[in-house]
This record gives sequence, structure tokens and C-alpha cells, in this order.
Amino acid sequence: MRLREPLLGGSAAMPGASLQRACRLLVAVCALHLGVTLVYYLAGRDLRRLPQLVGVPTPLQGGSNGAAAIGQPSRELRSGGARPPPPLGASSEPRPGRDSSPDADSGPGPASNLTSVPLPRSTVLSLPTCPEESPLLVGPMLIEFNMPVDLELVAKLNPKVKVGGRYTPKECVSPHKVAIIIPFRNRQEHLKYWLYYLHPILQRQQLDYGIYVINQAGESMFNRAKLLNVGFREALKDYDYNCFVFSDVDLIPMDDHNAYRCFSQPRHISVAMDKFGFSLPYVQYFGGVSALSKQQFLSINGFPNNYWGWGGEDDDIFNRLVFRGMSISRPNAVVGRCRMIRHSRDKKNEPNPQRFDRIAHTKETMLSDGLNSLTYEVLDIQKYPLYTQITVDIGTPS
Amino acid sequence: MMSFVPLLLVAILFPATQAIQLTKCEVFPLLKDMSGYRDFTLPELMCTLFHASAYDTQAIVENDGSTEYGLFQISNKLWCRSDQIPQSRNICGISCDKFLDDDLTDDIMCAKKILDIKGIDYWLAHKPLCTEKLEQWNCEKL
Repeated sequence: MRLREPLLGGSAAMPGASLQRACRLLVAVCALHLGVTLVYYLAGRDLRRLPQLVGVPTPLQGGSNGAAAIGQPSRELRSGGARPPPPLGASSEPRPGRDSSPDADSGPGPASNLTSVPLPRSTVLSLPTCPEESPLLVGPMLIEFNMPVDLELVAKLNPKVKVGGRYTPKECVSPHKVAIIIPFRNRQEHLKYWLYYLHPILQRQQLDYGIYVINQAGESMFNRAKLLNVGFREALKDYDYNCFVFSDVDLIPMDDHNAYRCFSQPRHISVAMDKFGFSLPYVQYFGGVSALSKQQFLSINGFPNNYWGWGGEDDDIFNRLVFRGMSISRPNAVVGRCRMIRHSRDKKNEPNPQRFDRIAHTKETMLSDGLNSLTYEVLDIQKYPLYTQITVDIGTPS
Repeated sequence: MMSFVPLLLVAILFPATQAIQLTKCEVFPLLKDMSGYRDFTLPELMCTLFHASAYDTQAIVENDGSTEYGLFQISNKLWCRSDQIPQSRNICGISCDKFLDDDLTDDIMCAKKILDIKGIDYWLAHKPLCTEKLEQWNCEKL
């Protein structure tokens, strides 16, 4: 106080007492802010601690199968000291409160069957839900196809990917359980590039994903959509995926902000392909790479089985979605840039002359041509380190 | 050493013989001649041709014993002359492979005849894909 007395005079040239008080208040507020920030920082990324510190009870996610199995609200676990890791086989509790965002429809369903991994850090018992946008994304990437790819090396570069091409993020629980279905025949070189580029991207996007390459056996005309139907069916035998990304083997995204997961409307992912001058060739275009949630896929009776040869099946799928009242969701043309591996036209995949006539009749045919009429025979299933390959006999044009 | 020169020339020319895929705005001015022909608008034509040939002037597609050529995918069954179908009526009076070069005047001449005689439904893509949302087929750069 003594130090300040000479200054409290309040002459014309010196700041008055009220200003002094204001400055002191400002410094005090800044110090408080710094202190709070420090607390947040020290508490780490486990933000669920904070409600406890402030005394706000954490609401449990109601109705999830997992919660009952765990039986313990998080606050009970906070009682000091080291905690044991969660028992293997218990479901993890996704962090509640994420459902306010519009795109959360395909988000956390019942937290069933998620095996939680014992964590080395004993301070965190249950994982939080992964954030809406992953903090690991890097943005635009350089994509080239002029170097050879060795899949053994790719597997080494992606050690967290489990056999069959499965990956589950360990730092958080992803609401996106994505099966990526790739229709395939005799494109091993393209597949190598696809795996090389996509595995790191998909991991950075914090997706709970699996890669399914559906290989058409035999020499009949290629039938992309039927292979995708098979992929849907077969992937669900592995895991309760809630989202399906259907990707051509020769398309690579150039920006990892282009999310390979589902949205509240069917998602078109390959919106700006280099082949089409990095723009959408037409607004109704739905080919290349797309994502449908399980519900969206079921509501259109899946994809048509009768498009043999190149073209038309993507337009048919677009029609199906429109007839069921859905619209296409897309990223912007910058984020949506994709590179296509250039190649000559495949034999046995020539343009289908019937395609235009068929897409004129989607409204009727979708009722009887799709999942409800799908027949096929699995000839072989191989679980490679980076993908699961399902070789299938899908018959011939009838 | 001299024998390498022709080889070198061929190697240089090879890229030039790849398919020429035009962009929407490159095709747009080339079709000015057809705008409004038989009451079909340019966007309608642009849409139809995209779905027919993806604007590839060298597109050649064979189906069921006949072949379609060029930007307009003109068929050798009726409209032009080729070895595959020697008995073709050849309505446009021209060899089909003339539709595979960069000069579109003959393609356009024949496409007009097709519109006269058969109509726009010669191009099967038109009805399902080119009757709505036609604004997207304009080219604003002009």
C-alpha cells in the first residue's frame, strides 16, 4: 500500500485510483485464466475429469447395452489412486453428449461388443468417443503412382493394422464402424497403391474399419454393384459394421479431410476426380467412392444385381436413393479431390449397352433386384495382413 | 544410329495418338452449330454427349456386332461405312473412322442427319439422364 501512496494523488499527468484498480483487476483475471488453463493442461486430454473437479455429475448414456455390463458410472471410478484396467470383454462407454451434432445419426449406437483394451495409463479407465474431426489429419497429400509398392513393407509401415485389414483406434472409441468394400478382378497393382495410401489415411481418421476386397471369379462380364452387395453381406459376418464405404480400387483421395465414413445422408466421396478435371462430371454422379450407412443401404434394397459391364449401376443407385427420399451429401471440391490410376479399359468390362434402358426403370426394378434377390457362392476367403479377400462366384448375366 | 531416328519420331508421336478427352467447355463452342437444331438445346446435347462418349473424340465402343464411333458415338449399323458391317446403309455417306479425328464438322453433319431421321432418342442416355437439371451443362466461361 505504501508504494502506491505517491501514485494515488490523481494529478492530471498520472492515472487515477480507479484506473489502478481496473488494472489490478485485469491482472487478477489473467492470472486466474492462466491458472485454469494450467489445470486443464495438467489434467491432460481426459476432459471427463473436469466435470468431476467442478462437481458436475457426468450423465450416463442411457439404453446402451454396454453401460449395464460395466455398471459403474465414471464418477465412482475417480476415487483416488491407481485404478485397475477395465476387464477384457467389457464394453467401453462412449462419451455421452455427442448427439447434438446433426451428423451424429450414424454415430454411437448401442455401445455393444466393443472390446476395450487394457490401457497402460491407469488414470484413464474408459475411452472417450473420438472427436468429430480427428486431430491427426494432415490435409492435402502428394499422390503418385510411379514407384513400386511392396505390401510387406506397407504392412510394416502400418503395424497397428491387424490381419484381414482391421484397425480400431486405441486412443478413443470411434462411432464409425466402417467396412470398406472394394470390387475387384485382376487389378493387383492398383490394390497395392490403394492399400499403401489408404491405410495411413483411414487410421488418421480414427475409424474402426476393415478392408474387404471382393474378387469376382470367372470370366463373365464384370458386375461392380453385385460385388458390392456381396461385400455388404460378407463384412457383416465379421463385425457389426454400421457404415459401408464402396470404393473403386483405382481411386485415391488427395486430402485426408475427406472422411471415409457415413453421414446422415448417403455420402459421395470421390467428388473431384482428376479424370474429370477435378470437378463433378454431373450433379447426379454417384460413382467412384461412396458411403452408405447400414440403414441407408437397407432402405434401398441394396444395389442392383443386373448391371453387367461398365456403367449405369452408379446412376441406378442414385435413382434408388432419390426414390427413397434421400439426397447426396458431399465434401467441397477442394477436399474432395481424388486421383485415379490411369489404365486402359478392362477386358470383359466394356460399356453395358443396356445401361440407359435399365436406369430408366429403377423405380420398378429396385423392388425386386437387390439384396432381396442376391445369390452368390463364396469360393475362398483369405485374410492377408492388409485386407480380407473374398473370392466369389456371382454367376452370369441372365 | 540412323535407324533410331524414325523410332525416336514414333516415340515422340505416340503420346499424340492417345484418346483426346475434351472438357465440357472445350466441347461447348464446337457445338454452336447444333444449338437449337430440331429444337434441342445445347445443354441437352452436352449432357447427351457426355454420357455417350465422355467427350472423347476417339471413343470407339463395340457391342453385339456393331461399333459406335467418336464424340457422337455414331453407329456403323446404319450411319457410316466400316469393314465390320459392309452392308450398312451408310446414311451419312462417310467412312466411320472419319469420326475419330479432331475435325468435328463431319461428325456434326452426320449427327444432324440422325436428329432428322431418328431423333434424339438415338442417344439412349438422353431420356433417363438429360431431361432435367440441364443448367449444369452450360459453360459459363464463354
